[in-house]
Amino acid sequence: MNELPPAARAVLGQVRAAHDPSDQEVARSLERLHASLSFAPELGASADPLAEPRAGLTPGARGTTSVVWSTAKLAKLALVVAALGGSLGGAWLLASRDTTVPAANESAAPTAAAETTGSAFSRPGPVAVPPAARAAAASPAQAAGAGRGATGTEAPTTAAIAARGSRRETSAQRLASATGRRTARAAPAPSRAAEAAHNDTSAAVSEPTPSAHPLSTAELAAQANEVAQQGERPPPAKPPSAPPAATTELALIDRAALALRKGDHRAALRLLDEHLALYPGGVLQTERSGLRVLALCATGRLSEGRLERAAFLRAAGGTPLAARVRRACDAKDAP
Amino acid sequence: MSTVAKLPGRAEFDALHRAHVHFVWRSLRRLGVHESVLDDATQEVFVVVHRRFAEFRPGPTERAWLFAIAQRVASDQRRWVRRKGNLLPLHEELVEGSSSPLEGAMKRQVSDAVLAFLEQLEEPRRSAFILSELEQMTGAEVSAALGVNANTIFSRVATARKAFVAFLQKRGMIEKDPEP
Repeated sequence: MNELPPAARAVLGQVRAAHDPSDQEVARSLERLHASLSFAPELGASADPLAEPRAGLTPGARGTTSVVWSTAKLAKLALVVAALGGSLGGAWLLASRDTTVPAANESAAPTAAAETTGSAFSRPGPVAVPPAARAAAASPAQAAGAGRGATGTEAPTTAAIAARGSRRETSAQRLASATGRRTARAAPAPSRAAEAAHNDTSAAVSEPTPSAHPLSTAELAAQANEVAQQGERPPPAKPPSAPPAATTELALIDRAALALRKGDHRAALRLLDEHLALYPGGVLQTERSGLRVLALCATGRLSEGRLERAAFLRAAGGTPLAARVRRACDAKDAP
Repeated sequence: MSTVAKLPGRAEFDALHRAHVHFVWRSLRRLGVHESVLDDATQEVFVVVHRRFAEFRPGPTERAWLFAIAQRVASDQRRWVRRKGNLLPLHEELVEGSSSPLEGAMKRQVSDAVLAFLEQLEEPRRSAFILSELEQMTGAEVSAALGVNANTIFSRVATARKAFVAFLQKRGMIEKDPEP
Protein backbone atom coordinates (compact mmCIF):
# COMPACT_ATOMS: atom_id res chain seq x y z
CA MET A 1 0.00 0.00 0.00
CA ASN A 2 1.19 3.50 -0.67
CA GLU A 3 3.02 5.13 2.21
CA LEU A 4 2.20 8.44 3.82
CA PRO A 5 4.67 11.24 3.12
CA PRO A 6 6.84 12.19 6.12
CA ALA A 7 4.96 15.45 6.69
CA ALA A 8 1.64 13.61 6.97
CA ARG A 9 3.23 11.06 9.27
CA ALA A 10 4.47 13.90 11.44
CA VAL A 11 0.93 15.24 11.73
CA LEU A 12 -0.31 11.86 12.89
CA GLY A 13 2.60 11.58 15.29
CA GLN A 14 1.51 14.78 16.97
CA VAL A 15 -1.99 13.56 17.72
CA ARG A 16 -1.41 9.95 18.75
CA ALA A 17 -1.63 10.83 22.42
CA ALA A 18 -3.71 13.96 22.02
CA HIS A 19 -7.02 12.21 22.47
CA ASP A 20 -6.18 10.36 25.66
CA PRO A 21 -8.11 10.98 28.87
CA SER A 22 -6.49 12.80 31.75
CA ASP A 23 -5.49 10.93 34.89
CA GLN A 24 -8.50 12.40 36.65
CA GLU A 25 -10.85 11.21 33.94
CA VAL A 26 -9.37 7.73 34.18
CA ALA A 27 -9.79 7.65 37.95
CA ARG A 28 -13.34 8.95 37.67
CA SER A 29 -14.18 6.33 35.07
CA LEU A 30 -13.00 3.50 37.30
CA GLU A 31 -14.76 5.00 40.26
CA ARG A 32 -18.06 5.11 38.41
CA LEU A 33 -17.63 1.53 37.26
CA HIS A 34 -16.94 0.38 40.79
CA ALA A 35 -20.08 2.12 41.93
CA SER A 36 -22.29 0.56 39.30
CA LEU A 37 -21.01 -2.95 38.71
CA SER A 38 -20.81 -6.10 40.74
CA PHE A 39 -17.76 -8.27 40.92
CA ALA A 40 -17.09 -11.85 41.77
CA PRO A 41 -15.78 -12.50 45.25
CA GLU A 42 -12.13 -13.26 44.94
CA LEU A 43 -10.09 -15.94 46.61
CA GLY A 44 -7.80 -14.42 49.16
CA ALA A 45 -9.86 -11.29 49.09
CA SER A 46 -8.23 -10.02 52.26
CA ALA A 47 -5.18 -9.12 50.23
CA ASP A 48 -7.17 -6.85 48.00
CA PRO A 49 -8.50 -3.72 49.65
CA LEU A 50 -11.00 -3.27 46.84
CA ALA A 51 -12.20 -6.85 46.70
CA GLU A 52 -15.49 -6.16 48.38
CA PRO A 53 -18.16 -5.01 45.98
CA ARG A 54 -18.75 -1.28 45.96
CA ALA A 55 -16.40 -0.76 48.81
CA GLY A 56 -17.00 2.77 49.89
CA LEU A 57 -16.81 4.57 46.58
CA THR A 58 -18.84 7.55 47.49
CA PRO A 59 -21.07 9.22 44.92
CA GLY A 60 -19.49 12.58 45.31
CA ALA A 61 -15.90 11.46 45.14
CA ARG A 62 -14.08 13.39 42.48
CA GLY A 63 -10.54 13.07 43.66
CA THR A 64 -7.50 11.31 42.35
CA THR A 65 -6.92 7.60 42.41
CA SER A 66 -5.14 7.78 45.74
CA VAL A 67 -8.11 9.53 47.28
CA VAL A 68 -10.41 6.86 45.92
CA TRP A 69 -8.25 4.13 47.37
CA SER A 70 -8.09 5.77 50.75
CA THR A 71 -11.85 6.05 50.81
CA ALA A 72 -12.16 2.45 49.79
CA LYS A 73 -9.88 1.29 52.56
CA LEU A 74 -11.90 3.16 55.14
CA ALA A 75 -15.07 1.68 53.79
CA LYS A 76 -13.50 -1.75 53.85
CA LEU A 77 -13.12 -1.39 57.60
CA ALA A 78 -16.77 -0.42 57.81
CA LEU A 79 -17.67 -3.49 55.82
CA VAL A 80 -15.76 -5.73 58.19
CA VAL A 81 -17.68 -4.27 61.12
CA ALA A 82 -20.92 -4.75 59.28
CA ALA A 83 -20.01 -8.30 58.37
CA LEU A 84 -19.39 -9.18 62.01
CA GLY A 85 -22.89 -8.11 62.81
CA GLY A 86 -24.46 -9.62 59.77
CA SER A 87 -22.81 -12.90 58.94
CA LEU A 88 -26.09 -14.17 57.61
CA GLY A 89 -26.07 -11.43 55.01
CA GLY A 90 -22.50 -12.27 54.13
CA ALA A 91 -23.36 -15.90 53.61
CA TRP A 92 -26.22 -14.83 51.41
CA LEU A 93 -23.85 -12.68 49.40
CA LEU A 94 -21.58 -15.61 48.65
CA ALA A 95 -24.47 -17.91 47.93
CA SER A 96 -26.01 -15.48 45.52
CA ARG A 97 -23.06 -15.55 43.19
CA ASP A 98 -22.16 -18.30 40.83
CA THR A 99 -18.74 -17.78 39.40
CA THR A 100 -17.89 -21.32 38.53
CA VAL A 101 -19.86 -21.66 35.34
CA PRO A 102 -18.30 -20.06 32.28
CA ALA A 103 -20.47 -18.13 29.91
CA ALA A 104 -22.27 -20.30 27.45
CA ASN A 105 -21.96 -18.04 24.49
CA GLU A 106 -18.58 -17.42 23.00
CA SER A 107 -17.85 -15.05 20.19
CA ALA A 108 -15.35 -16.21 17.61
CA ALA A 109 -15.17 -13.14 15.40
CA PRO A 110 -14.13 -9.89 17.03
CA THR A 111 -16.84 -7.96 15.27
CA ALA A 112 -19.43 -10.29 16.67
CA ALA A 113 -18.47 -9.07 20.10
CA ALA A 114 -20.19 -5.81 19.35
CA GLU A 115 -23.51 -7.51 18.93
CA THR A 116 -25.65 -7.40 22.00
CA THR A 117 -27.01 -10.84 22.48
CA GLY A 118 -27.88 -10.39 26.10
CA SER A 119 -26.22 -13.67 26.85
CA ALA A 120 -24.00 -12.48 29.61
CA PHE A 121 -25.96 -9.90 31.47
CA SER A 122 -24.07 -9.50 34.65
CA ARG A 123 -25.18 -6.35 36.38
CA PRO A 124 -27.15 -7.78 39.27
CA GLY A 125 -26.45 -4.69 41.31
CA PRO A 126 -27.92 -4.67 44.78
CA VAL A 127 -28.99 -8.28 44.55
CA ALA A 128 -25.41 -9.28 45.08
CA VAL A 129 -24.78 -6.97 48.00
CA PRO A 130 -26.20 -7.53 51.46
CA PRO A 131 -28.19 -4.49 52.46
CA ALA A 132 -26.44 -4.33 55.82
CA ALA A 133 -23.01 -4.27 54.27
CA ARG A 134 -24.09 -1.72 51.72
CA ALA A 135 -25.61 0.53 54.33
CA ALA A 136 -22.37 0.40 56.26
CA ALA A 137 -20.12 1.02 53.33
CA ALA A 138 -22.06 3.46 51.29
CA SER A 139 -22.46 7.18 51.59
CA PRO A 140 -25.70 8.48 53.07
CA ALA A 141 -27.31 8.49 49.66
CA GLN A 142 -26.33 4.92 48.98
CA ALA A 143 -27.30 3.85 52.46
CA ALA A 144 -30.73 5.28 51.90
CA GLY A 145 -30.94 3.31 48.71
CA ALA A 146 -29.94 0.17 50.54
CA GLY A 147 -32.69 0.70 53.04
CA ARG A 148 -35.27 1.04 50.34
CA GLY A 149 -33.94 -1.99 48.56
CA ALA A 150 -33.92 -4.31 51.52
CA THR A 151 -36.11 -6.78 49.72
CA GLY A 152 -33.40 -7.30 47.15
CA THR A 153 -35.75 -6.51 44.31
CA GLU A 154 -34.17 -3.35 42.99
CA ALA A 155 -33.42 -2.80 39.38
CA PRO A 156 -29.97 -3.91 38.31
CA THR A 157 -28.29 -0.55 38.14
CA THR A 158 -30.04 1.25 40.91
CA ALA A 159 -27.16 1.18 43.35
CA ALA A 160 -25.22 3.22 40.86
CA ILE A 161 -27.88 5.79 40.29
CA ALA A 162 -27.24 7.91 43.32
CA ALA A 163 -23.56 7.68 42.59
CA ARG A 164 -24.07 8.86 39.07
CA GLY A 165 -26.77 11.44 39.56
CA SER A 166 -24.39 14.29 39.92
CA ARG A 167 -22.31 12.94 37.08
CA ARG A 168 -25.33 12.93 34.80
CA GLU A 169 -25.84 16.56 35.57
CA THR A 170 -22.28 17.29 34.67
CA SER A 171 -22.62 15.59 31.32
CA ALA A 172 -25.87 17.32 30.60
CA GLN A 173 -24.37 20.64 31.42
CA ARG A 174 -21.37 20.01 29.26
CA LEU A 175 -23.68 19.07 26.40
CA ALA A 176 -25.81 22.14 26.95
CA SER A 177 -22.68 24.21 27.20
CA ALA A 178 -21.41 22.82 23.93
CA THR A 179 -24.73 23.57 22.29
CA GLY A 180 -24.64 27.04 23.68
CA ARG A 181 -21.17 27.63 22.33
CA ARG A 182 -22.22 26.43 18.93
CA THR A 183 -25.17 28.80 18.94
CA ALA A 184 -22.92 31.59 20.04
CA ARG A 185 -20.58 30.93 17.17
CA ALA A 186 -23.39 31.39 14.68
CA ALA A 187 -24.08 34.81 16.09
CA PRO A 188 -22.09 37.73 14.69
CA ALA A 189 -20.72 39.00 17.98
CA PRO A 190 -18.53 38.74 19.95
CA SER A 191 -15.28 37.92 18.22
CA ARG A 192 -14.07 34.34 18.28
CA ALA A 193 -11.04 35.18 20.34
CA ALA A 194 -13.15 36.89 22.95
CA GLU A 195 -15.51 33.97 22.94
CA ALA A 196 -12.62 31.65 23.57
CA ALA A 197 -11.53 33.68 26.52
CA HIS A 198 -14.94 33.33 28.06
CA ASN A 199 -15.63 29.77 27.09
CA ASP A 200 -12.87 27.43 26.17
CA THR A 201 -9.42 27.99 24.81
CA SER A 202 -9.93 25.40 22.15
CA ALA A 203 -13.19 26.79 20.87
CA ALA A 204 -11.41 29.70 19.29
CA VAL A 205 -8.83 27.76 17.40
CA SER A 206 -10.69 26.27 14.52
CA GLU A 207 -14.02 25.06 13.40
CA PRO A 208 -14.22 21.31 13.15
CA THR A 209 -15.82 21.24 9.76
CA PRO A 210 -13.67 20.02 6.91
CA SER A 211 -14.17 23.25 5.05
CA ALA A 212 -12.73 25.36 7.85
CA HIS A 213 -9.46 27.09 7.12
CA PRO A 214 -6.60 27.02 9.57
CA LEU A 215 -5.87 30.25 11.31
CA SER A 216 -2.60 31.99 10.71
CA THR A 217 0.14 31.81 13.29
CA ALA A 218 -0.38 35.47 14.12
CA GLU A 219 -4.07 34.89 14.78
CA LEU A 220 -3.28 31.90 16.90
CA ALA A 221 -0.72 33.83 18.88
CA ALA A 222 -3.12 36.71 19.45
CA GLN A 223 -5.84 34.37 20.61
CA ALA A 224 -3.50 32.39 22.79
CA ASN A 225 -2.15 35.53 24.43
CA GLU A 226 -5.61 36.79 25.11
CA VAL A 227 -6.57 33.49 26.62
CA ALA A 228 -3.42 33.45 28.72
CA GLN A 229 -4.09 36.96 29.99
CA GLN A 230 -7.58 36.18 31.07
CA GLY A 231 -6.62 32.95 32.72
CA GLU A 232 -8.37 29.66 32.62
CA ARG A 233 -12.10 29.57 32.52
CA PRO A 234 -13.43 28.35 35.86
CA PRO A 235 -15.44 25.18 35.75
CA PRO A 236 -19.13 25.82 35.15
CA ALA A 237 -21.22 26.11 38.26
CA LYS A 238 -23.29 23.04 38.97
CA PRO A 239 -26.72 23.88 40.34
CA PRO A 240 -27.56 21.18 42.85
CA SER A 241 -31.20 21.12 41.85
CA ALA A 242 -30.66 20.74 38.11
CA PRO A 243 -32.65 17.77 36.86
CA PRO A 244 -30.57 15.00 35.36
CA ALA A 245 -30.87 14.81 31.61
CA ALA A 246 -30.55 11.70 29.53
CA THR A 247 -27.62 12.40 27.34
CA THR A 248 -26.57 8.89 26.62
CA GLU A 249 -27.91 5.39 26.39
CA LEU A 250 -26.51 4.60 29.81
CA ALA A 251 -28.12 7.68 31.31
CA LEU A 252 -31.56 6.62 30.13
CA ILE A 253 -31.18 3.15 31.55
CA ASP A 254 -29.89 4.53 34.82
CA ARG A 255 -32.78 6.94 35.14
CA ALA A 256 -35.26 4.19 34.37
CA ALA A 257 -33.69 1.98 37.01
CA LEU A 258 -33.82 4.81 39.50
CA ALA A 259 -37.46 5.49 38.75
CA LEU A 260 -38.18 1.80 39.21
CA ARG A 261 -36.45 1.74 42.55
CA LYS A 262 -38.35 4.79 43.68
CA GLY A 263 -41.58 3.09 42.76
CA ASP A 264 -42.34 5.42 39.87
CA HIS A 265 -43.00 2.58 37.49
CA ARG A 266 -44.75 4.69 34.87
CA ALA A 267 -41.78 7.01 34.64
CA ALA A 268 -39.56 3.97 34.32
CA LEU A 269 -41.65 2.65 31.45
CA ARG A 270 -41.61 6.06 29.77
CA LEU A 271 -37.83 6.23 30.00
CA LEU A 272 -37.48 2.70 28.70
CA ASP A 273 -39.72 3.58 25.78
CA GLU A 274 -37.55 6.58 25.12
CA HIS A 275 -34.52 4.34 25.19
CA LEU A 276 -36.18 2.01 22.72
CA ALA A 277 -36.92 4.91 20.39
CA LEU A 278 -33.41 6.33 20.55
CA TYR A 279 -31.42 3.12 20.77
CA PRO A 280 -33.47 0.30 19.27
CA GLY A 281 -30.37 -1.81 18.82
CA GLY A 282 -28.34 -0.26 21.62
CA VAL A 283 -25.71 -2.02 23.61
CA LEU A 284 -27.92 -1.92 26.70
CA GLN A 285 -31.04 -3.41 25.17
CA THR A 286 -30.76 -6.42 27.47
CA GLU A 287 -30.93 -4.12 30.46
CA ARG A 288 -33.86 -2.32 28.89
CA SER A 289 -35.79 -5.54 28.37
CA GLY A 290 -35.16 -6.78 31.88
CA LEU A 291 -36.14 -3.49 33.48
CA ARG A 292 -39.24 -3.30 31.34
CA VAL A 293 -40.43 -6.67 32.58
CA LEU A 294 -39.90 -5.57 36.16
CA ALA A 295 -41.73 -2.30 35.54
CA LEU A 296 -44.66 -3.90 33.73
CA CYS A 297 -45.12 -6.43 36.49
CA ALA A 298 -44.85 -3.75 39.14
CA THR A 299 -47.59 -1.69 37.51
CA GLY A 300 -49.90 -4.68 37.41
CA ARG A 301 -49.73 -5.24 33.67
CA LEU A 302 -49.19 -8.89 34.39
CA SER A 303 -50.16 -10.49 31.11
CA GLU A 304 -48.01 -8.07 29.15
CA GLY A 305 -45.22 -8.49 31.66
CA ARG A 306 -45.36 -12.27 31.43
CA LEU A 307 -45.20 -12.15 27.66
CA GLU A 308 -42.14 -9.92 27.72
CA ARG A 309 -40.72 -11.97 30.54
CA ALA A 310 -40.86 -15.07 28.37
CA ALA A 311 -39.11 -13.24 25.55
CA PHE A 312 -36.45 -11.94 27.91
CA LEU A 313 -35.80 -15.35 29.41
CA ARG A 314 -35.47 -16.87 25.97
CA ALA A 315 -32.86 -14.29 25.01
CA ALA A 316 -31.10 -13.78 28.31
CA GLY A 317 -32.17 -16.64 30.52
CA GLY A 318 -28.67 -17.32 31.74
CA THR A 319 -28.04 -13.89 33.12
CA PRO A 320 -28.03 -12.97 36.80
CA LEU A 321 -31.01 -10.68 36.22
CA ALA A 322 -33.00 -13.58 34.84
CA ALA A 323 -33.70 -14.93 38.31
CA ARG A 324 -35.44 -11.70 39.29
CA VAL A 325 -37.23 -11.36 35.99
CA ARG A 326 -38.43 -14.93 36.31
CA ARG A 327 -40.10 -14.08 39.61
CA ALA A 328 -41.26 -10.63 38.58
CA CYS A 329 -44.93 -11.14 37.81
CA ASP A 330 -45.35 -13.76 40.48
CA ALA A 331 -43.88 -11.92 43.45
CA LYS A 332 -46.24 -9.91 45.57
CA ASP A 333 -43.63 -7.27 46.20
CA ALA A 334 -42.36 -6.82 42.70
CA PRO A 335 -40.20 -3.71 42.52
CA MET B 1 -31.45 -22.63 31.60
CA SER B 2 -29.30 -22.38 34.65
CA THR B 3 -26.08 -21.05 33.26
CA VAL B 4 -25.04 -17.84 34.94
CA ALA B 5 -22.72 -15.34 33.38
CA LYS B 6 -19.26 -15.19 34.82
CA LEU B 7 -18.61 -12.09 36.84
CA PRO B 8 -15.11 -10.67 36.68
CA GLY B 9 -13.16 -10.18 39.84
CA ARG B 10 -12.60 -6.58 40.73
CA ALA B 11 -8.83 -6.88 40.47
CA GLU B 12 -8.89 -8.38 36.98
CA PHE B 13 -11.51 -5.89 35.82
CA ASP B 14 -9.46 -3.02 37.18
CA ALA B 15 -6.38 -4.35 35.45
CA LEU B 16 -8.24 -4.53 32.17
CA HIS B 17 -9.56 -1.03 32.69
CA ARG B 18 -6.15 0.38 33.50
CA ALA B 19 -4.60 -1.30 30.50
CA HIS B 20 -7.18 -0.19 27.97
CA VAL B 21 -9.13 2.83 29.14
CA HIS B 22 -6.87 5.18 27.19
CA PHE B 23 -7.30 3.11 24.05
CA VAL B 24 -11.07 2.96 24.48
CA TRP B 25 -11.36 6.66 25.24
CA ARG B 26 -9.34 7.90 22.29
CA SER B 27 -10.92 5.34 19.97
CA LEU B 28 -14.37 6.62 20.88
CA ARG B 29 -13.23 10.19 20.29
CA ARG B 30 -11.79 9.28 16.91
CA LEU B 31 -14.90 7.35 16.03
CA GLY B 32 -16.87 10.56 16.39
CA VAL B 33 -18.18 10.54 19.95
CA HIS B 34 -18.76 14.05 21.19
CA GLU B 35 -16.25 15.20 23.75
CA SER B 36 -18.95 16.12 26.24
CA VAL B 37 -20.19 12.54 26.46
CA LEU B 38 -16.89 10.73 26.11
CA ASP B 39 -16.87 9.66 29.74
CA ASP B 40 -20.38 8.25 29.47
CA ALA B 41 -19.51 6.44 26.26
CA THR B 42 -16.40 4.99 27.86
CA GLN B 43 -18.55 3.91 30.76
CA GLU B 44 -20.91 2.15 28.38
CA VAL B 45 -18.05 0.28 26.75
CA PHE B 46 -16.83 -1.02 30.08
CA VAL B 47 -20.34 -1.92 31.21
CA VAL B 48 -20.58 -4.09 28.12
CA VAL B 49 -17.09 -5.44 28.79
CA HIS B 50 -18.19 -6.36 32.29
CA ARG B 51 -21.31 -8.07 31.00
CA ARG B 52 -19.43 -9.96 28.31
CA PHE B 53 -16.37 -10.67 30.39
CA ALA B 54 -16.60 -14.38 29.72
CA GLU B 55 -15.78 -13.63 26.09
CA PHE B 56 -12.67 -11.67 26.93
CA ARG B 57 -9.49 -13.34 25.74
CA PRO B 58 -6.28 -11.78 27.01
CA GLY B 59 -3.66 -11.47 24.35
CA PRO B 60 -3.20 -9.96 20.94
CA THR B 61 -6.93 -9.80 20.17
CA GLU B 62 -8.04 -7.96 23.29
CA ARG B 63 -7.81 -4.50 21.79
CA ALA B 64 -9.66 -5.74 18.72
CA TRP B 65 -12.46 -6.98 20.96
CA LEU B 66 -12.63 -3.67 22.79
CA PHE B 67 -12.56 -1.68 19.58
CA ALA B 68 -15.51 -3.65 18.24
CA ILE B 69 -17.51 -2.73 21.34
CA ALA B 70 -16.38 0.89 21.08
CA GLN B 71 -17.50 0.97 17.44
CA ARG B 72 -20.95 -0.13 18.48
CA VAL B 73 -21.22 2.42 21.27
CA ALA B 74 -19.89 5.18 19.01
CA SER B 75 -22.38 4.26 16.33
CA ASP B 76 -25.22 4.54 18.83
CA GLN B 77 -23.90 7.88 19.99
CA ARG B 78 -23.72 9.30 16.48
CA ARG B 79 -27.22 8.04 15.77
CA TRP B 80 -28.45 9.75 18.91
CA VAL B 81 -26.85 13.04 17.87
CA ARG B 82 -28.38 12.77 14.41
CA ARG B 83 -31.82 12.12 15.88
CA LYS B 84 -31.55 15.01 18.25
CA GLY B 85 -30.39 17.13 15.38
CA ASN B 86 -29.18 20.04 17.45
CA LEU B 87 -25.63 19.09 18.13
CA LEU B 88 -22.75 19.18 15.78
CA PRO B 89 -19.54 17.52 16.81
CA LEU B 90 -17.09 19.94 18.29
CA HIS B 91 -13.44 19.28 18.79
CA GLU B 92 -12.53 21.07 21.91
CA GLU B 93 -10.29 18.87 23.91
CA LEU B 94 -7.32 20.41 25.59
CA VAL B 95 -4.02 19.08 24.44
CA GLU B 96 -1.93 18.07 27.40
CA GLY B 97 1.76 18.66 27.65
CA SER B 98 1.91 21.98 25.86
CA SER B 99 4.64 24.24 27.12
CA SER B 100 2.99 27.48 26.04
CA PRO B 101 -0.44 28.74 25.01
CA LEU B 102 0.75 29.10 21.44
CA GLU B 103 2.06 25.56 21.33
CA GLY B 104 -1.16 24.31 22.87
CA ALA B 105 -3.22 26.21 20.33
CA MET B 106 -1.21 24.82 17.45
CA LYS B 107 -1.48 21.29 18.80
CA ARG B 108 -5.19 21.73 19.12
CA GLN B 109 -5.39 22.87 15.55
CA VAL B 110 -3.60 19.74 14.39
CA SER B 111 -5.75 17.57 16.63
CA ASP B 112 -8.92 19.22 15.37
CA ALA B 113 -7.82 18.73 11.80
CA VAL B 114 -7.26 15.01 12.29
CA LEU B 115 -10.62 14.60 14.00
CA ALA B 116 -12.31 16.57 11.26
CA PHE B 117 -10.70 14.32 8.69
CA LEU B 118 -11.81 11.18 10.52
CA GLU B 119 -15.30 12.54 10.74
CA GLN B 120 -15.65 12.98 7.02
CA LEU B 121 -14.16 9.58 6.28
CA GLU B 122 -16.59 6.77 5.54
CA GLU B 123 -16.87 4.31 8.39
CA PRO B 124 -15.10 1.23 7.03
CA ARG B 125 -12.10 3.34 6.08
CA ARG B 126 -12.19 5.36 9.24
CA SER B 127 -11.77 2.36 11.52
CA ALA B 128 -9.05 0.91 9.32
CA PHE B 129 -7.21 4.24 9.30
CA ILE B 130 -7.53 4.71 13.07
CA LEU B 131 -6.16 1.29 13.88
CA SER B 132 -3.49 1.29 11.22
CA GLU B 133 -2.19 4.84 11.30
CA LEU B 134 -3.02 6.12 14.75
CA GLU B 135 -2.84 2.92 16.78
CA GLN B 136 -0.11 1.55 14.54
CA MET B 137 -1.52 -1.95 14.43
CA THR B 138 -0.26 -4.32 11.78
CA GLY B 139 -2.40 -5.23 8.80
CA ALA B 140 -3.13 -8.61 10.33
CA GLU B 141 -4.20 -7.05 13.62
CA VAL B 142 -6.48 -4.58 11.90
CA SER B 143 -7.89 -7.38 9.82
CA ALA B 144 -8.67 -9.36 12.97
CA ALA B 145 -10.12 -6.33 14.70
CA LEU B 146 -12.49 -5.43 11.92
CA GLY B 147 -13.28 -8.96 10.81
CA VAL B 148 -12.38 -8.45 7.17
CA ASN B 149 -9.58 -9.92 5.13
CA ALA B 150 -6.17 -8.30 4.95
CA ASN B 151 -6.44 -7.28 1.30
CA THR B 152 -9.59 -5.31 2.04
CA ILE B 153 -7.81 -3.62 4.93
CA PHE B 154 -4.84 -2.69 2.75
CA SER B 155 -7.20 -1.23 0.18
CA ARG B 156 -9.13 0.78 2.76
CA VAL B 157 -6.01 2.11 4.42
CA ALA B 158 -4.45 3.05 1.10
CA THR B 159 -7.56 4.97 0.07
CA ALA B 160 -7.74 6.67 3.45
CA ARG B 161 -4.09 7.67 3.27
CA LYS B 162 -4.62 9.34 -0.08
CA ALA B 163 -7.62 11.17 1.30
CA PHE B 164 -5.63 12.23 4.37
CA VAL B 165 -2.80 13.67 2.31
CA ALA B 166 -5.27 15.54 0.10
CA PHE B 167 -7.05 16.82 3.19
CA LEU B 168 -3.85 18.16 4.75
CA GLN B 169 -2.78 19.73 1.47
CA LYS B 170 -6.13 21.42 1.07
CA ARG B 171 -5.78 22.93 4.52
CA GLY B 172 -2.25 24.05 3.82
CA MET B 173 -0.86 21.88 6.57
CA ILE B 174 1.56 20.10 4.25
CA GLU B 175 2.96 21.11 0.92
CA LYS B 176 1.42 19.89 -2.28
CA ASP B 177 3.34 17.42 -4.36
CA PRO B 178 5.55 19.12 -6.92
CA GLU B 179 4.20 18.97 -10.44
CA PRO B 180 5.84 16.16 -12.44
